[in-house]
Amino acid sequence: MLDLKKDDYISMYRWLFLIRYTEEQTVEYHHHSPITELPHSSIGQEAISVGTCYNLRLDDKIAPSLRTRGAFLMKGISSNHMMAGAFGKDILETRGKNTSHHLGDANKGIIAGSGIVGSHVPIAAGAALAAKLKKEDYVTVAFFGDGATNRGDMHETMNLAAIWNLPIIFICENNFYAISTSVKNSMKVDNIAIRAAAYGIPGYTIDGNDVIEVYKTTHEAYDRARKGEGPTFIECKTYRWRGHSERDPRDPRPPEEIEGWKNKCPVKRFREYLIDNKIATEVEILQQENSAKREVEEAIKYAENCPYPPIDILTTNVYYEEV
Amino acid sequence: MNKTMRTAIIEALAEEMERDESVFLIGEDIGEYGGTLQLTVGLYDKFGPERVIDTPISESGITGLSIGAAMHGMRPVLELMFADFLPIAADQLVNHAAKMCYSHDGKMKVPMVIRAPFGAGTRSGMHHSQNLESWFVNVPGIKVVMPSNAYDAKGLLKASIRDNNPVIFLEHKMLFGTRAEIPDEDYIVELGKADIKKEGSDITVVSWGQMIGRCLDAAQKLEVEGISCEVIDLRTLSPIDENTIIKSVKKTSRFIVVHEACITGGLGGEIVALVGKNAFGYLDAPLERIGACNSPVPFSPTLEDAYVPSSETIQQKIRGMF
Repeated sequence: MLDLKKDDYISMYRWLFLIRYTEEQTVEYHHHSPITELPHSSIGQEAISVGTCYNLRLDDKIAPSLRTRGAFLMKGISSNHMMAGAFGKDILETRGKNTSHHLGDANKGIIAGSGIVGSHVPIAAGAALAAKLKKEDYVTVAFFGDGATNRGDMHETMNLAAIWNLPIIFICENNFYAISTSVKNSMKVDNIAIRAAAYGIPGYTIDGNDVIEVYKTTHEAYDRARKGEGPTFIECKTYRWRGHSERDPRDPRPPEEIEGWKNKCPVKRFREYLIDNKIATEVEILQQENSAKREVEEAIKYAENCPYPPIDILTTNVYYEEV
Repeated sequence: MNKTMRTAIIEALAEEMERDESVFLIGEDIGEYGGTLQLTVGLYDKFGPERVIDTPISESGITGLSIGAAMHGMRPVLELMFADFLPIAADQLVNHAAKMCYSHDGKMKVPMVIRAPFGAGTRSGMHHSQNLESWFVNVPGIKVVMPSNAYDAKGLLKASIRDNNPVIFLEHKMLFGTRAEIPDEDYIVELGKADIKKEGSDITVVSWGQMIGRCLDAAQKLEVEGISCEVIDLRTLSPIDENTIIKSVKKTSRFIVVHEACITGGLGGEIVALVGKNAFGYLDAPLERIGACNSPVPFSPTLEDAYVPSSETIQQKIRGMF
């Protein structure tokens, strides 16, 4: 699985570009004609979703963070549904009851997230516990930011996953800021992954903007997890280009820091890698970019025309009923 | 001067910090950033990092640390970014802050305030919109306060900071931009005192927070139809000002309570029971209550608008009581 072929490289590039363009268009659209959901853009962090989710199995589970738009798409939510979900329209299992960036889909292995940063990680470990108890070999991938790692639940979960050898992979998207709070002020360690040692599990700090490095590190961890060798903590260093949300009152980050990270753009880097190593031609890449753009533009049209949920579903399915 | 509720809150914090050196602020992104909802703007510059303490995302931890500091001579004012984070802090609040005074039989105080923006209407989804006030009203040892306007917000917050008990101070997100006249001189609004926002003779309407505005709007419409509503703003949800409510019901002979939290297990049930017990003989109609339906707060505009009780819903229910 670690041997990627030309088609894989091109496919991974299309995902990177699709996620980038989806996010750019969502932000653009939001500022012209506000969509219902406040965008928390993942621009700059796309390689983490692509590297972790490429070649994941349908029965593998993901527990997305606030900033893993790409993981939803790669796990099988269509661009149409993703966009319409952000508009608050009547889609999929959530039907407008939850936001698009917290939606869950049981058939696609997407565990619904929440607006409570970090609370989804123990739940993800529960999915991994179920795999162990049921003797199934699916893995669970939990995404969270640097901020979430300071929650108490995170430490309880890492310890539990470690002592029980649970098939879970902790993906920390360290973009150095929790809203306005720099990691310099929220922790004393330079690399969050060193905390893994305290639980006796492998921890890696990697370049989160290098899609291939993310792919290789995560898929090696998946192989170990499937064999019952327990969890891995992978810290992907990255950066968000935009504020915490599109309603950020002010951005405390130095402009030169933001510009510096833009030079490490995960999409552009991979594009250059493909051309320089003659894996794909400019024409082949343009074809992928154009088809991804069309997909997003169609998704916006779909979202505009999609109906809002009817009021009569307001109090339905608060409790589970057999159908 | 005419000021927003946001400004009133910031002023209350600044004035109490100036008045009492033991008051300090603690919370996520409250420093230079001024708070996610901009409720501490300028205070970091004025008071510095030791009195406006930015924290990592550690709600349970910072709540516990605030309790410990409060037990040892300080007066922490903790900002939880959203009231939906109260359940994370709940162990510390419910099992510890609420019980210190009792376990020391009155020889220990926990003078702290937990400020938490809350409520529906901002399209923020089910984890950033809840009304959990009744959870904490059910915990003896904690006070719960909720202003409906800028004037009360400032006076109640100052009173909460001066109070020697843990106070959960709930700020409705839809009210931050609303304005009121704020006096230049120091004032407090005493905890435990309800306020009659509009006098009336035919029915007593008790409410709090964002719903006060909708009740006043409904009262204005009903006045034209000949129904005179007395609208009482509870302001402090625990302890409840029973006297103001009972006195009013004895005058009007009808009673309805309106809240944004869902009906089942909501505070309305408690207040209806109070009225039933203390003014039963005065009632000309069954006691009524209005609250949100029994569902989480939905995200989509069509659903969220249907979720929060409207002025029309209040009018319709009151008309049915005559």
